[in-house]
Amino acid sequence: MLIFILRRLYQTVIVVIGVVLLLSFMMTIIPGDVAQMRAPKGATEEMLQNIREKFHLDKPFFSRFWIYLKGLPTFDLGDSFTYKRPVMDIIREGLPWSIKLAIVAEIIIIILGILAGVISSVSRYSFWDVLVTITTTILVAMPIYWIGRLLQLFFSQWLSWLPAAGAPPPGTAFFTGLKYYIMPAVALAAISTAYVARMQRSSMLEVMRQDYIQTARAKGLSNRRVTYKHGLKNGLIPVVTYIGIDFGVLIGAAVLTEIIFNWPGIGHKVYNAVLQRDHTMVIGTVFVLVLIFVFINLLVDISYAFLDPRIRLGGGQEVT
Amino acid sequence: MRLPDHGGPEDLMPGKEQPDLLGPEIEEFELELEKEQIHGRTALWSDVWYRLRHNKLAIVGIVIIIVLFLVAIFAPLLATHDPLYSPLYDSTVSSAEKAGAVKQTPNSEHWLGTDQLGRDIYSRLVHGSRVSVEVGIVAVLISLLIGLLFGALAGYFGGWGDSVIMRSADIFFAFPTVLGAIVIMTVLGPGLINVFIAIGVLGWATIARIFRSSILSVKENEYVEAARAMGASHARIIWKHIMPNSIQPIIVYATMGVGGAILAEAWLAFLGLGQQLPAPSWGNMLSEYLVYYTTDPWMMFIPGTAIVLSVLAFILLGDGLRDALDPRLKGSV
Repeated sequence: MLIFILRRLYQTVIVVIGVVLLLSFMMTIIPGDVAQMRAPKGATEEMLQNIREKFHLDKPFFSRFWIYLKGLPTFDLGDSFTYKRPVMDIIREGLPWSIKLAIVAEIIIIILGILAGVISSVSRYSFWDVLVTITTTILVAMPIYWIGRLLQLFFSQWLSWLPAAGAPPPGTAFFTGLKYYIMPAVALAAISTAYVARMQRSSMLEVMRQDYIQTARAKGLSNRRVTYKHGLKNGLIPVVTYIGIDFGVLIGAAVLTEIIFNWPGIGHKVYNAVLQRDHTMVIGTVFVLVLIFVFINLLVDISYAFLDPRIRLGGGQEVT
Repeated sequence: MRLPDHGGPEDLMPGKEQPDLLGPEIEEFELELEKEQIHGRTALWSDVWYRLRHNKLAIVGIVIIIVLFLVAIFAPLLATHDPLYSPLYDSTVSSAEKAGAVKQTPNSEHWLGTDQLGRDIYSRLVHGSRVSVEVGIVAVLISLLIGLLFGALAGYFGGWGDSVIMRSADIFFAFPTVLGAIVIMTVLGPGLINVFIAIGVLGWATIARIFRSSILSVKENEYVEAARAMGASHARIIWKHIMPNSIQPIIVYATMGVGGAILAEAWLAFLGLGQQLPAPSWGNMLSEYLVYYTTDPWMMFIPGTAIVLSVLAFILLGDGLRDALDPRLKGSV
């Protein structure tokens, strides 16, 4: 077990170092005159020179690379051009909102995804199974921001049940505030829920074919007990890992969802930076998000190894 | 019996055991054996086609894909209007006519109506299909080129090269696609060519990983050893003996990848990074029309449906191909 954790940690360190190098490199190779891009129209040569100095654009390749690189371990990500403030400050403001939304979405994914998958595997080829299969297939093929817009159209524009966009204003009561979360969280969760449901379905079907399930039945256990006690417990294992991998999909989806719902998280802030081609802001934010993703994957893998002895005894080969 | 030879990579289905051949499956295999004797070497592909033909969903996918390609190829012939023409910028059009020309609901002149600038939505949709097809094909080809090369090097030769390649793949896996694409696109700048590059480059790691493990399971076979003993070069062994037996999971993944790339074009356009206006793409049409969801919600359904149908078609075909190439994996995600 210890060897597994150490090996996984070592792998994570390599990945983080790689990410730092790659992002610093990307930061340095931007083609074109960045000062021109950032300066207002009709800027004088002196103004351009100021911008170059401020963002270290006048320095040679390697020293720029080094300046950015040495800032990363201490989260000194430079100043955002769009917001005229340190990138890290903006991330600190946005991150709590993004995390809150992600938690609500993750709850929806786990409950709804697993439930839908179990229902459709237990009653295979029934109405519910067909419904789940069709819905999940279509959801996977939809652009996520369109899902968000459709929700707004139905639940806000036509039915007026939920606020169309934005975060709950400060001082809102808990339950009123929750209303603001429903649509963005559902939109954010939609695609991952579909994947989890499909995974859960096939994983359950796979498990229910195993010999020990037959043994359990032969012992005379009730169908219910066989399904939920013996089947679900093992059928959950691949889904649990998947939820970790899927967190990446969730982070990406968050950017798109936050834009559509005008949510004050980092995704929304990145969007403004993208429009301005504010590299410092974009690359800095991506750095923080990738770190979070890598760290969560590490946690999931370790907890997964606790659940499934085959993994830790298998020497920690990743399961894709 | 060809059952064990044409297996997918073991890591696609962790802990997968040999299937018990029951009912229709055993008939299918008997049929397959019979056909193999008749067709000889081409048996695999005729079998695949045979199984694919009997998969209704895969056929639906194939039909949609054929229509999509035909529309993209013949776009200029199919379009009824100039996709860029906007009466708002036409000085010969009176202001009263201008007011009536925008956001028309579908009618006999404009089959799918007109957009906020009075442009013909049908013609824009038809021309926009080209972008989706291009992004799908070019991006997947780039991923395949890089992924197959590195996957083959890693899987076939092993050693330190394997470690370097697979650790690099790990680094790419650390980037959720949306974030990776945003970084590449902000660095390179917006535009269609850069979309190809971003989506293509981000896809290599998965392909390399699948191909590598597929090669690992194939290269220990005796026929590979036989080829080596006969003095075949590495390139020949990889190309002639390993490739045909390990390419199947890649075909499935690449098929679905085309759908993924079409979807990626859509959200890159939404972020303002894809095909630049006024040239039409489904992605930028959808993000333009989203704005009018309160007043004219019908508009966003047109490019939206086009995107969903095409992505769906590639997913269905991919699903069908996986089942057809390897019946053992039937029903898995």
